[in-house]
Amino acid sequence: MIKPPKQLIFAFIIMYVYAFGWWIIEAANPGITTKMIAGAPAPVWYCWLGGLYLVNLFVAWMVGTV
Amino acid sequence: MHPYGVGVDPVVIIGAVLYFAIIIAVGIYSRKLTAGAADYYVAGRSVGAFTNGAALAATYLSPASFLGLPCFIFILGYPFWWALVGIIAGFPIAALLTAGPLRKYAPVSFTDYYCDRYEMPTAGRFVAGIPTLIAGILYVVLSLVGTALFMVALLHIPYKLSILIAAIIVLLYTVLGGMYATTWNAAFQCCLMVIAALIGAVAMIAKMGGWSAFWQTIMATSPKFFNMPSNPAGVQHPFMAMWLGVIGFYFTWHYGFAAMPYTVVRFFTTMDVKTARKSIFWATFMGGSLYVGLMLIGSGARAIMEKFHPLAAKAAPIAAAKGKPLAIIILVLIKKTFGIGKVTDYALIAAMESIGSSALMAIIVAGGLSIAMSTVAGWIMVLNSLISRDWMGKVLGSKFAEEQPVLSARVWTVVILVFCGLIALNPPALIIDLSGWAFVVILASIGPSMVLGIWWKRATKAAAIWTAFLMAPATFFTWLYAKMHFGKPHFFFLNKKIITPHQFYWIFVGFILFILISLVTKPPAEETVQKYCVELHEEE
Repeated sequence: MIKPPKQLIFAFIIMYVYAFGWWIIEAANPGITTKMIAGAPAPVWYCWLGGLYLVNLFVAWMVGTV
Repeated sequence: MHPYGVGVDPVVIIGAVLYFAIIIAVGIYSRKLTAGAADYYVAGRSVGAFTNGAALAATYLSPASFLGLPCFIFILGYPFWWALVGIIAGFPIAALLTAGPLRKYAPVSFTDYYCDRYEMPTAGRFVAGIPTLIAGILYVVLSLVGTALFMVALLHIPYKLSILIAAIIVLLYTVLGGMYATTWNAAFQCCLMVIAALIGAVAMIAKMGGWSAFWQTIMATSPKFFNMPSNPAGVQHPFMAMWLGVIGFYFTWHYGFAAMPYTVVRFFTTMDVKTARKSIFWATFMGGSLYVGLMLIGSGARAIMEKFHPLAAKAAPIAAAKGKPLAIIILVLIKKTFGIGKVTDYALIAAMESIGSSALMAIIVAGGLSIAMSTVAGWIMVLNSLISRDWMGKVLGSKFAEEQPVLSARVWTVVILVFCGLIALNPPALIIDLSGWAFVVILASIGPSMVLGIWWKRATKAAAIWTAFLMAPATFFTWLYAKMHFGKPHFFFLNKKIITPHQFYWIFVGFILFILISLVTKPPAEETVQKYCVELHEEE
């Protein structure tokens, strides 16, 4: 096995911990998805803006530095 | 006059004509640069990070993203947002799994790596080539139909004429400019797609009364929109009733970017390894921006259609009598009007029509045509190098393909587009649906040999052959069985109560099978491993 660069390991950890982390939180607190924050339900911030965009962009920037 | 009262505004026509004029002009200009085979197939390995990144995003995101995903969001609700997160999350993963190493290896065609890494100069062309050919034809047909659907619904051009126009325009720029034209046009098309999605989303939010009103209307129209499987009140759609459905949709498209031929070949075109990796940042930025817009459009589609669409009044009594959501009946009426595609294909168009802006529709038509045509062109470039260079030239030893590679590739481009265009003129419903299978078959059958060939020294030729040989029929049978017996390919083929989108579990089975076969078969020669595995990871 070729030793993967540390950025690849971090990329996997960040992405999957982020997604599975929120799913675990949502499973434990079903009401969280309808909780309103700044005029929008909470997933708008942690999934739409955070997960889709910011986390992915950060990881993409990080792997580009290998 | 529009069948339901919305005429084709000259602004929309101007938008479409301008779009066509620009991409044809790029094709004509690129012809001057296409002197040899390396120019035609890999754009002279001269493409920069932003251009390649934007082209990557445009090529990978097929018309299903513009036509299908907003409707999936509106039907499946918030749980499907995670699928879009999964797709974009696959971009950076691809950067490290395949982009850098493959650019360092610098092949010309998608099948080159299989031939060299697995020491099968002829068989490798078929092991990787046959699943690629099948998937490519399905995707080209689907994307031609998607292009035509936009022209029919927004420009009111008859369907068959739309297919003809789409095929001729793609033909013009791929034949003339090869990978140069395909890349530059895809980058331009990506910008259009992103602008269209973001402007569409902003216009929709404004139409619905601003940010807070937008979300409140969605929650009032679809009270279960934000519910996840563990919510005792239930979810919006049975597909999302179990966590496996949410996780399955997340992973279905997640790894596609790392191993799909039409994205992998783009890594061959960049200036160097660093540019290949950096281009992934721009692909993520552009693809993410597109999905930021499409998520909003998909989320608000039902609410805006039910409130503002011209067909809402006509559809209301039918919806009440049938007990179905008003938005679905609106889409059914639109589908009946135009008679092509599926009901779900019209969600984005109907949502944008509800806003009632000609300028917006002009942008949407250009964005829609962009996303569909960039996928056609990307696949055409993969298929013409596969048939012309790999099969005709390398395997059959055709003098024409060897001595006149650019002309041969151009001839095959015409043949492929004519063939796919003829299927698209009257496409069987199953062909359109099979594009979902096409994705899984590539990833499960030849994905493991590409990714593990790069990262695992022990990956063997036998594993590459047997994984392709076993996974292709396994994915096809289970996908078709679920589709025929349960109505949708997203149910697990043995049990309708389990949701496994597109039978995605085969991707993991393919990787496990590949590893097991590799462990019990003859390892590759040391020098092959050194050259096509170890050295691909060494610093330059």
